[in-house]
Order: sequence, then C-alpha cells, then structure tokens
Amino acid sequence: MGLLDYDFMRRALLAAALIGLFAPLIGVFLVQRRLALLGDGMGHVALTGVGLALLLRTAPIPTAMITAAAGAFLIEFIRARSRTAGDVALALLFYGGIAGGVLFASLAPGQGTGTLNAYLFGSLSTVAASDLIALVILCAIIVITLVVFGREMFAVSLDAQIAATQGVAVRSISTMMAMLAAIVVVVGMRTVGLLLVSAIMIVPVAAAQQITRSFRATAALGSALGLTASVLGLVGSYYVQVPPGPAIVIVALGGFAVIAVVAVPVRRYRTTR
Amino acid sequence: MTAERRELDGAIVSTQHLCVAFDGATVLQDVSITLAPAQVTALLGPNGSGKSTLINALVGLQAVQHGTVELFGIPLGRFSQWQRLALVPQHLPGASSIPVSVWETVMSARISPRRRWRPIQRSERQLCTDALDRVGLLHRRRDRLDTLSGGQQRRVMLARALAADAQLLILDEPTAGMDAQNLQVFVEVIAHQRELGRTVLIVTHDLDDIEHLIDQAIVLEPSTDQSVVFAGPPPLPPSMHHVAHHHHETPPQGAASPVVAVDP
Repeated sequence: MGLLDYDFMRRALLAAALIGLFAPLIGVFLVQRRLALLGDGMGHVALTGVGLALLLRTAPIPTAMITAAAGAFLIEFIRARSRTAGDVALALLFYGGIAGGVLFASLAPGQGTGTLNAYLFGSLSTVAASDLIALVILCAIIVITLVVFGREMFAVSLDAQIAATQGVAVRSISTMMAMLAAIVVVVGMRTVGLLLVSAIMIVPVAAAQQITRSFRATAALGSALGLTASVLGLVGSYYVQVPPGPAIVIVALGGFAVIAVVAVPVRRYRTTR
Repeated sequence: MTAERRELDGAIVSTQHLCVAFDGATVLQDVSITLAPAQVTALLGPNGSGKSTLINALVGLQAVQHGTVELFGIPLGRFSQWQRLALVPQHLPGASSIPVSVWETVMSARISPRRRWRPIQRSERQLCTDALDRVGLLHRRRDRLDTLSGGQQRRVMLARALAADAQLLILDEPTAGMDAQNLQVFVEVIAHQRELGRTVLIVTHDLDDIEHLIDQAIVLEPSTDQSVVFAGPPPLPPSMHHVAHHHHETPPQGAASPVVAVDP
C-alpha cells in the first residue's frame, strides 16, 4: 500500500505542503527585521493554548490561535515600549508559554504530558479533516494580507523611519507581521510541531539568501525550499518512523548545507562576469 | 481655508518657535525657518547643533516640545500628503540580513498606503529607471545593494528619493564619505532638481561644491537661546566659515568656533 492510500497521510501531506509554502514568506520579513527568534517564542506561547484545549477538551487550533495572537500583540507592545527591558520581558513571556502549556496539559484528566509530544514535534496521524479547513482558511488570510500589505511590510523591514515618512503606519504593519507569524505557528503546529515551527520559517530563507540577490527572489526560493523540505521530511518520517517535525527540519538544514556549497562557485561566477 | 491660503503664500516648510529637548537637555531652541518653493536650502552647523534633529522634527520622526511645524501649509499633526516629500537619511542601509537589490531599494519609494490597492504602474517603473540612470547606476539595478561601495549606496538612496517624484527633497548629509566622482553626480542631481523647481533641504558640512546652487543657508549653533544663528542667502559671514568650508585649509572642527553662551 502506498502512503497516499491512507487518509491521514494525505491530510498530513497537505498540511505539510501548506506550512512549507507559506512559512518562509513570513520568515523572510522576520529575518530582515532581525526577529528570527520571534517565531520560536510565539510557538512557546501557543503551547499554553494547546494545554488549555486539552484541559477544557476543546479543539486545539482555536485556543492555540488565540494565545499565539495575544502573544504576538504583547510581543509587539513590549518591543515598541522599550528596547532594553524588552529582551527580558520577551524571555519571561516565552518561559511562561512553555510552563503554562505543560502545566495545563498535566492537569488535563487522562491526557498527561505524553499528548503534548505530538504538538511539540508534530505528528503524522493528528491532522483531522476539520483541522484542514482551519489550515486552509488561515493560509488564505496569509495570502490576502501579503497581497494587500506586503509592500508596506517590505518598506517597514527595509527602514522603518523612511517608511514612516512615506505615510506607512509602522506600528500597525509591525503588529500585522507578528500576527502573521502567529498564524504560521498555528498552521505548522500539527506537522512540524510548536518547538520547531519557527525553523521552517527561518531555515529555508537562510538557505536561499546565500545565492539570491533580491528580496523577492529570496522569498520565492525560500518558499520553494520550504515546500520541498516539508514534503520530503514528512514522507521520510513515515518510512523511518520518527516524528515529522525533526525530519522536516533536518531536510531543510541539509538544503542549507547544499546551497552553502553551491553558493561559492555562483558568487565567483558573478564577480568575474 | 487658512491652509490653502498659506500654501499660496508659498512656504513649503515652515516652523515657528520650535523647541526640541531629549532627556531634559535642549537640542533646538526657538527655531523659526521657512523654505520657499523652488529654493535650495543648506542646513549647516557643527556636530551636536541639532541639524538631524531638526530634519526629524520636520518630518514627524522627532517629538517637539514647543512650537509648530507646517508642511505645505498644513500643521504636521494633520499632514497626510507624504507622497509630496522624500527623505534621504543620514545612515546608509548597510549590510542586510536578506539580499535587497538596487532596483527593489529604488522601487520602495513608490510604496504608500495610498497605492495599496493598485498594482505598480508602468510610469512608476519609468520613474525608477530614470532616477537610477540619473545617478549613473542603472547597470547595477540587479545587484545586491550591500555589494556596492558606500558612495554608490548613497547614490542609490538619492535615486530612491528622486523616484518618489516629490516636491520636497530632504537630504541628511548625503555626501558624507563621497569621493569626487560620486560628489559630481550628487551636484548634478541637485542642479537638475533646482531646474525642475523642486524645494530641497540639504544638511551638510561642506558648502564648497554646492554653494552656487544654494538660495538660502541656515546655520545652527548648539546651546544658544536661539539655535538659528544665521538664515539668508550665501555667502556666510566670515565668523561662520568654519561650519561650511573646513575640509581643506581651515583648522579642525571646533578649533575656530566662537565661544557660545551656555543655556541658562
């Protein structure tokens, strides 16, 4: 039997394809703004939402989305308020996210922390049909927001001060970027897992920027690499019997290494041209 | 009504009794200046005299303690026609985490909430092409911005401002660290903007190469009751030559400064 004959694998593959395709499109803005670790923290905060869902026996995607969005809002608020104390305040928020998640999950009757593993590192079998609808809606929100506000996000990422003198609402656009990162975290929660979801935002972008010369090309190549890594990693995890999150991230890191090697002759060619 | 009337009167930028302080220390005191249409103004003064602060206050990047700023006759707090001005900041874009091409940098001048719902027009691409051509870097448009030299990056930032096609151009030390060839391009661009009837404000330490293009010079001094110690057409009074002509023969900055009164 091929892996596509299983319903759960078809759903997992689709979920992985969505996260692989869209996470780098948001990650490229985070890396440019030197906020690569923001997605990591947002994943920690979303864990509290998952813990709450286990405790209250509700669906995890809505509660994770609410806590991640609240976390994104709080993070932007802290960042805007102070540069120096912000670092520590963010650390506190992230520790609180993990601790809250594990605590609530442990209190949940008959679940225990074992269930959390599926959310921390991804799982092949947990993408429900109802989840897929939520994921598709969340991805549609990402696409529409990027089409309408992507250029203003680019302006803010380039230089927030200049953007302000072009009439761009820098604070609102920054908050919007953090919200999109929160959405990506929730989309990736099922397949990549909350601890590694930021890797699928960052690693493909870091790989792509070694050989690209423009922001647009970096986003496009990053997205293509993210899609490839997600699908290959997921299929690999099925055959090797490991959680999909680590498999996807290892494949993406492999892509980074391959491009690092290829980049040397490419750069040499460009400079001697 | 009053806004339209003032615009007919002509001020593109005007400030009245502007005061700016950070952490209790006064940086700008009682600054009242006017930039008339189609005028090129040089903003001069020693380091720490508040030139960049004044520019930031004009475009709303710096909070103001007292006084008013008007752009195109509209008080800054109500001003929303940002497409009418373009700023070249003092800092260079520098090394970027994500590659950004020269073309993308120049095209970013066309980003505005007003154009959010409409795709880039052919005429806007043409503006960007012309701007890059004018600074002589059209052939580098596909390259990563941070692979260009510092002087070339300044030319790209100048092209970015030109691509905004704005009536008011504000340049904060646009020639810092430029060699003769880059400087020549810059002088030609300013001369062209002057011919087009644009209003230009240039912060500089060196009037030598652009004095013939300057209609008004404004000189700031730190820690005085009035930050503006001179405003008018060049040449500057001999006592102020040190703020504008110091790069070859005059002694290092500060050595020739008059003793200034400390703010009470």
